[in-house]
Amino acid sequence: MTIAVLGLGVALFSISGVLASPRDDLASPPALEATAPDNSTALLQQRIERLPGDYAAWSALGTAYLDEAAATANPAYYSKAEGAFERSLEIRPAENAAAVTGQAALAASRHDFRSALKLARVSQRFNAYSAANQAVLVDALVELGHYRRAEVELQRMVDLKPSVPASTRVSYYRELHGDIDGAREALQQADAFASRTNDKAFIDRYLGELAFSTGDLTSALEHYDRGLAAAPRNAALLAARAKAQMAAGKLAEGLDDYRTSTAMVPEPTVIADYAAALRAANRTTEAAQQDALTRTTYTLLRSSGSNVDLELSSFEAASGNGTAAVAAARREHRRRVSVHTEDALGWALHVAGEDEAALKHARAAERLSNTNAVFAYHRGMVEHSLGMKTAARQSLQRALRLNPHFSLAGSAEARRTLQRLNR
Amino acid sequence: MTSVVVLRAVRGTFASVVGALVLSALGAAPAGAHPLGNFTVNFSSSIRVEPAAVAVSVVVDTAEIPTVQMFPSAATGVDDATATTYRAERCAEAASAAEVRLDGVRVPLSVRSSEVTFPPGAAGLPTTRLTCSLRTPQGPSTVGAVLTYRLPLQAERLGWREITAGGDGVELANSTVPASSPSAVLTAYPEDLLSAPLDVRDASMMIQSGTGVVAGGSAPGAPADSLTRGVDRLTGAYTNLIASHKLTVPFGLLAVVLAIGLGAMHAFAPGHGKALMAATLVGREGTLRQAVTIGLSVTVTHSLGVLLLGLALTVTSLAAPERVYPWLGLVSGVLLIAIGITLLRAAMRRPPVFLAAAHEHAHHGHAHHTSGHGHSYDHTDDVERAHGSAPHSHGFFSHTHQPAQLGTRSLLAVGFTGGLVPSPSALLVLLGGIALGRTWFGVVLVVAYGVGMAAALVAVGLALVRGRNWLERHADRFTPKGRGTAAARFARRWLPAATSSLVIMIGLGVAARAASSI
Repeated sequence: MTIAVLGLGVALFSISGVLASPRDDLASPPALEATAPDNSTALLQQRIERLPGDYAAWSALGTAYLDEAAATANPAYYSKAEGAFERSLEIRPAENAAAVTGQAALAASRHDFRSALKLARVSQRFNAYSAANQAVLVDALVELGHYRRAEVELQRMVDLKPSVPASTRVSYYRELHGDIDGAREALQQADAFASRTNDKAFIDRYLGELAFSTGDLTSALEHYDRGLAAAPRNAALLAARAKAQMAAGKLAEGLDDYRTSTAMVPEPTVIADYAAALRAANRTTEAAQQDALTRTTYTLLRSSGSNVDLELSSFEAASGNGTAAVAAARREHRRRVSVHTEDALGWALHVAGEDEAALKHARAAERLSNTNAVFAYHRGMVEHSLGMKTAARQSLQRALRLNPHFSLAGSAEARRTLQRLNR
Repeated sequence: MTSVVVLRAVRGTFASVVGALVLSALGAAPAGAHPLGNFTVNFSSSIRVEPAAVAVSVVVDTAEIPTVQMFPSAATGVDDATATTYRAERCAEAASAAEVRLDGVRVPLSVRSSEVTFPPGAAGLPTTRLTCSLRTPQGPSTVGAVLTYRLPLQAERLGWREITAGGDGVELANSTVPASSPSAVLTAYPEDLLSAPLDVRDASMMIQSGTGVVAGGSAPGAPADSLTRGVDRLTGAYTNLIASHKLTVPFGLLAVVLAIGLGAMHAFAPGHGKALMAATLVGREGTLRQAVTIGLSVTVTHSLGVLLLGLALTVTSLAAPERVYPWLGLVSGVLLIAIGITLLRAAMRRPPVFLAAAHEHAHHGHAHHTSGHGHSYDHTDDVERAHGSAPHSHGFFSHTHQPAQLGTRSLLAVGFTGGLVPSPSALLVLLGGIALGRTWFGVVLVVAYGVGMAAALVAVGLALVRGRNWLERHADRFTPKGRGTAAARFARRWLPAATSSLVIMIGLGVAARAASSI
């Protein structure tokens, strides 16, 4: 009897004592707060404030800043990203794959593709399984003209992590090689992955541009409108829509979009397009102002140590300054030989009157595919200057067939030249 | 999704390649370039609240490219006439766009003065610095009103936007903006890597009577503690200390000493077999040696457990603590129950009296009586049996060589179960060390932690043993003669059983609690 009472008392005491004690937090994890993706930067900043030696968090913060820069187009984030990657490397200089990838991305954005490739390879040695590093690697290889190697790394990226950046790169690779349907399919696949507004706007822009490059203005405008509905302050989408509107003959809307876009982000190629649009609308004084602004922007970019030779050569060629165009194009061609640098050099040589030299490069630009209307037009004009009538007719017809609106000034010039050839 | 800057040329053109180029190059802030980027337009509004009026100083810092967009001939200089027109027009625009509301009622602003300068920027291009002094008309007292302010100018433009507010003859309370400019009014942009560029577009504050010392201040929320849940502040402070210092020898030694202290402190936290140890040592002939054995066993088990769990956590994410801990707890509970049952059976089986005949020690030839001898035995071959060499005393708790003595194996088992559930703070010390690339140092700290724990547990055990011995020696003082013997006999008879039952109950409790969170 006494045993029972004693036992019961002890039992009650110990069980209640044990069960009434505060729960160990680790055994019952608290409910996860629903954190919006935007919070990740703030969380990383707070973590680093608590643990300033956490080099992985510094790298992650740098990548988050690069994401913000891409999303908001705010340049301050680029210098913050650079600072964050440097800080991470200070803390851990050896085998810091993520920080090196970040530096590679920054080098790529400054158009220093050799450094970007070198850094991305270094990072790949430390960590061969980083999809983010593969992205930078693929971009650098494509820009440097190493297309086969790019394909290998792109396949590896897709195998590592099917995602929106992987799909957009697959789409671009296919387009470069002439597979337009495959390119469209890859973007539609990316659309299925995309969940964030920024990504969907991104994909809409690319789908629209793909449609534009095949001459389908209606679909292009549809995609742009959809993208802008989701992300109304996206300067790139506005610029793309402006181009399509100008091609469709909607001059007022097009000029308005160009004005808004260049006010938000004064990207020199967009400003140059704006100038061309103003010229097409016969507003020549404003066009001249925008041209001056373009030149100023290129000067600023060069003075800040960035490589703008490819874009500058195109601008100088469009302005008729053959010598300057050739100089810039040769500089870039020496750095890297890609289909774009070949096309730029070919066209610059044509503007400078050196068509024999130009032909080789114009042909080389079409070695991957013959579905690029601008490349075809450039080649056709060179062939025409050399008196190769049949070849010129074929090239120019091909250009207009691929995309009758490939350029405001260029399309008109192509038609005029064809008329002359057919006479 | 981690998307590194998507740098790619778009179909046939290279617009977005240059897009990324423009942004990064113009934001890289080399010498001479505008620190926030060559195409930003940056705004600063300094609000000064007076007893009967509100003054706002709006400063606009325009970078190189927008300057050229406004003044196409800016590279060669801006003439006075253009500059005058510009500042008159822009300040008038600011005055009509700025919204100052007192208790929701908008108060108009007028331009008192304007000024424009063109500080030089990058590549020989100028930037523009416009200053507009705006003011509301003298009116009724502002005291007691809520002031709100916003300046919706060029909302699409990228740039730094800040608002500051101070009182001149009044005090401000609950102000959402600071009193002093973080950028020295757009002349020195802070290079803080841990904060986003400022984009404050509106402000509100309460105006109170006072001498003009700004009392307002924003109250940012406390940082989310998501990463230190489940760990006490001491351990959090300790890991912060470890992470933020360079590992020099003196600092390393300090960290080891602190780890010992941390371990000792956690030994006093619930768990780690203290109750069990108490039950064991008090209920049996607990000696110092037994206490030490249990303490060491707990510590070794605990340290090994931490190291194993730490290894498992770094190797696989399947071994998340939330999933492992309940199982460990369950195993620990089941072991406790098993030990308790064994002890109980042993206790119930032997007659609970001091009969020499039932003694198990074959090689002890003596007979033990309750009448006074204080010699100690020769336990040389018998250390395994661990009666210990506790002083034999008589009285309330006589020495008993009761067969239900704990062998060393049992003690070790007790210690093992006590140390089976690794303390989260020790785990954190180890994982923190691994995450910061100092694995070996983390291991050293865990071992030091274990040493601290051992020391504390042994101290507790020692205290228990001494206390029990003291009670034994002096207990008969407190019991009346007659009843003492009966009570003593009762206790002697049933205490081992009771403590074994306690062990079983504790085991049940631990297992039940662990099982409930699996």
